[in-house]
Amino acid sequence: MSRPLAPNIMQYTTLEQRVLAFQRDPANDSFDAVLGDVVRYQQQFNPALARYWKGRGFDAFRDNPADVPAVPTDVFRHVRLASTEAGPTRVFRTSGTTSGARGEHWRLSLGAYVEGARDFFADMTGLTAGSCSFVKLVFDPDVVTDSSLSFMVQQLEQTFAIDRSSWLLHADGADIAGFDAALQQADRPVVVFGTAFGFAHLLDHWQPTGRLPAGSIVVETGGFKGKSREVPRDELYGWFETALGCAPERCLSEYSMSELSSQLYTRGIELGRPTALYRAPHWLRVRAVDPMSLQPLPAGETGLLRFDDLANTDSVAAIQTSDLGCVTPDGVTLYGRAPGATPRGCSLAVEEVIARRDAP
Amino acid sequence: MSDATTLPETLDAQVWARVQMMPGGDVNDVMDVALVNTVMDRVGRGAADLRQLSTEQIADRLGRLHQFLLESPDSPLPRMAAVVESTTGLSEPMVIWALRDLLKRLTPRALVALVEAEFGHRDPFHGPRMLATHAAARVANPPDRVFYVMAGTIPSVPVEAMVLSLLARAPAVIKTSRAEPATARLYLEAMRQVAPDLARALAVVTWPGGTEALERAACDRASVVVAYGSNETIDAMYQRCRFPTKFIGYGHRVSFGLMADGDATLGEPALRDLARLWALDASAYDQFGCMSLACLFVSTNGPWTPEEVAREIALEGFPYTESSMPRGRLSAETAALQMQARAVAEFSGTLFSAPTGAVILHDRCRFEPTPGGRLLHVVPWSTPDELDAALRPLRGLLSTAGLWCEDPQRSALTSQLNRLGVRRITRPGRMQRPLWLRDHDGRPRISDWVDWTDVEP
Repeated sequence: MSRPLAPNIMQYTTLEQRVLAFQRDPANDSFDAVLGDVVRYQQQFNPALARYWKGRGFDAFRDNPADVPAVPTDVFRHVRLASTEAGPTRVFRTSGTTSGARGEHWRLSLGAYVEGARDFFADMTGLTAGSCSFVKLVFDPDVVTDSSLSFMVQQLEQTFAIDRSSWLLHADGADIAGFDAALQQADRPVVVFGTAFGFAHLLDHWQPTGRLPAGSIVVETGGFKGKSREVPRDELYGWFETALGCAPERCLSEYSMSELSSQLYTRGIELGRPTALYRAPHWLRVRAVDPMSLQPLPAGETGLLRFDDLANTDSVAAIQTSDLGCVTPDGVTLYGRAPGATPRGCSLAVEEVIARRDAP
Repeated sequence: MSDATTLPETLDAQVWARVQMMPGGDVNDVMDVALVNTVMDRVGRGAADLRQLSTEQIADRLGRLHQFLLESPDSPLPRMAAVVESTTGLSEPMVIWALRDLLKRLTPRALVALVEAEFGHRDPFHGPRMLATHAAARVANPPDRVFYVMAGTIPSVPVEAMVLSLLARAPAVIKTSRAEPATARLYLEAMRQVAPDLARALAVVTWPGGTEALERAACDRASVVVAYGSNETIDAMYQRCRFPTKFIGYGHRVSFGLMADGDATLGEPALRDLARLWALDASAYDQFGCMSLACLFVSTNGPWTPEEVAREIALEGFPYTESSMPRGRLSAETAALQMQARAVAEFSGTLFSAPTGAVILHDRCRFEPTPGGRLLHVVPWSTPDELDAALRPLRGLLSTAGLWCEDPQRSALTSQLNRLGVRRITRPGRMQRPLWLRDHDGRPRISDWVDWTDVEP
């Protein structure tokens, strides 16, 4: 921590306090003012990021922080983007892809991540501390130590649950008996937090034996990631109601990724809508950008989603995804990975070549 | 040129109008099994005239058609290009280049030569002929009908399909992609005007790919089915065919360039010229063709370093091709994949960027795939073993190799590429302009379609 600071550079601990204050109360500060401090810190302490920005003509000490070049998510699979101010305390990794390499998100501190995750979950669910039990169809964070999802669910359980429950997702699928037992024993509102993969496994193998207690909610996240059959969204949410007794308005969908520290949620599912409407916390700015120019699009236009996440305080604040979506004052509509809008031609798709090339 | 003047007498006008829906309208989702059968019957009847014609007569008619398309002020080529631009995203100049390049090569002489090369005689369908390659005299029987399933991005492919069908005396139904229904229709429309006796043996239809009932009906009536597309599409079409229907599938492939040691005395002008040729190979069809240059292997013992080659292609080659062959509109998927790949390369300092193209330099010898849209990878290689290890995983998927090398190396490299299953070896600048007189994807173009009657002495 002895590195001399450039003018206007906050040290991490001070900067994190500022982000936390903004998370708690945005009334006395502005998003871009806080983002300005964050990107100045990142330019000072993240040399690889600073070189990238410089190559793009961006200087955090001169330019509007809203214009900071976002880092595409694939970069995390190839480059270590970590603050050099101190040794990192935690690394989260993306799940495997056809290309083999996993993205790594290195962190010094998780203060803004944890507090933000708790606050926004409370906002979206109306739950208070120690008011429920958790049933977790998520990998055990002691087994999968680099899963940001497992870490987050662990933090949420520690805050909102009155007790501790088992981790019911394993590499070969959901723990059916454990899930059944957890539901049988539930005597207070339950948060069933699971990946779509875990729920799909339940749907195929579990015979419903009871319904969730009143006030329970279901949170689905994570997509299928090629691990099981894909279950149409309406079928899955219909099953939440028929098998678990959880009405659609009490079913939430969560969206995030290892490269982010903040989450988006739907506020209950609206069946029949072609897509769900996600809400983001005020410390996460979501913009749809033009796929070619990467310039922000007007509200309501579909483009690639870009996230400016203040809770990525010590890593990379601006993240560019390949997910298509549109942003309006009401929220964010996600369309998933950008599909081939025009025929690809007769050249092999990148994924096919990589899978073939990297096959053992 | 209106449909009304060219309607076939034997088919109800209203039905025919639905089948031959013109570009610009909604794509034809009104097809049903009965209509598929009607179209098959119709082209089958049209074959009677076709089969009376000699190869020279067919080639002359097609030559006149191509002259009309290339030179007439009434040519629909500009209209074709405008429509194809709107449907595929390729730029108008690119579409014009692609179609003109093909039509210029489809001269009467070239068409006759193709038939001679494929069958050993220019008129194999008329009377038994003694062929140099065969002990008995032979006469060929054309297929009753050919059913073509098109993929959609390369606008010249449906034109080739129709020409080949006519040369094989095969009535043909061309099912276009819904994304590119225009080229085939406009070419056939022009043919109806210039060579109506040929046009009667052809029809163009469109329906959503994977519509099993329609595809099965078409396959049932065809003696040859030719399908382009992904492995899934090819496999689905294969499943729809029943013996003895002949099935020919052209799946997705990848292509690459190879620069060997070369002449150390060559200088910058040679590098600039070469960079333009490689850029052309990576620019035609915006790199979405199976013969598009995706990855260029550059020898570390050559006259230029891989970095010099990469820089020259980005700074000289891509801008040069852009001036005559502008890049078209990229899909969100391609743009997203490019954005990710370019950013990774930017972080490692190995990106050479042009306004509408980019070259990524790698330090490891392995095949790197491209999302298309003029993103080229340059990869170093130093030994044949290294090259072998890089390409062997893609054996069976390799289409074309653009080869730049000195004569002493050519034989060894050609043998190596043959062992790796490469279907075609050509020189820089020709990767996406294959010779007409050649096999396609390692197979004859039309001689597989016919059956022969041998007449023993």
